[in-house]
Amino acid sequence: MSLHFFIFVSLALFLIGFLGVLIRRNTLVVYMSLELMLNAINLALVAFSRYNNSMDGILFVFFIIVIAAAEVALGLGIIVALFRHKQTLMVSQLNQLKF
Amino acid sequence: MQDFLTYFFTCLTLLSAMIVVLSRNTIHSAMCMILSCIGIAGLFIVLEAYFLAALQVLIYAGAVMVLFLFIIMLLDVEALEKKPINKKRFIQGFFTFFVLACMFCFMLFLSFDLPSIPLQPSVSYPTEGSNPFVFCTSIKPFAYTLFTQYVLPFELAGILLLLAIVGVVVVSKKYTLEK
Repeated sequence: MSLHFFIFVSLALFLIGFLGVLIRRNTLVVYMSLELMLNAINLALVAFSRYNNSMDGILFVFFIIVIAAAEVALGLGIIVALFRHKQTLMVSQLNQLKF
Repeated sequence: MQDFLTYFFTCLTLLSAMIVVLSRNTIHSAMCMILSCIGIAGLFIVLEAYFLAALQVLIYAGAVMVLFLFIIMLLDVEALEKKPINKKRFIQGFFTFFVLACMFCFMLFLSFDLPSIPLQPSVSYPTEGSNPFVFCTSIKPFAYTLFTQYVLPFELAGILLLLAIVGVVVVSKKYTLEK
């Protein structure tokens, strides 16, 4: 399988995640689409690492997984605190900072 | 066989991702996200990054998504998004998506003309005297690269995890008024 195929798969996954962030109003689904985008980048990095015969891409993916796990823990803590305050998760109702 | 596995895991990942984004039920989205993470682990195996596939299943599908499911259970989210859809936002979102999709596909088709390096067979361990940082499928070269060339990001990742733990404890604290 050529490199172009894996880049295309990574691209399609990234665009699906991007669509999810733009369209959905539930904060948790928006956050899951964000994780989908990170997974797409992981796939692209591993494909490039394999086809260029280098170890750097794999280690970069390792660090991205670490950072994504830490970010999810913190982000979900913030979402729980937000829910406790506002009793809603729809982004259309979380508009207190709007100008 | 390798081609069949590639196509199978690709279809699994992309279909699960579509369900994550388009489903009305949040639990369905979370379960299909787990399926998508497993599909990506399968693609990692096809690309011969075996350790990363195991890490992906353990950490992403096993810890991060389980955390998501706990939060979904805790917060008691409504099943349907009952309010009417804001048509203008919807169309703006789709328009941005199409523009970005066209741009990226155009760049992808431009890249077909570039000369491609032939795929080298992957080795388990780097041969003596050659570059020790070539692509290897076993864990020992991964650990060697991690602890020699990338030891600074490794230490910083440890500090970042400590920050995340302390931050979660601070964020989820309940504040009560003192009389």
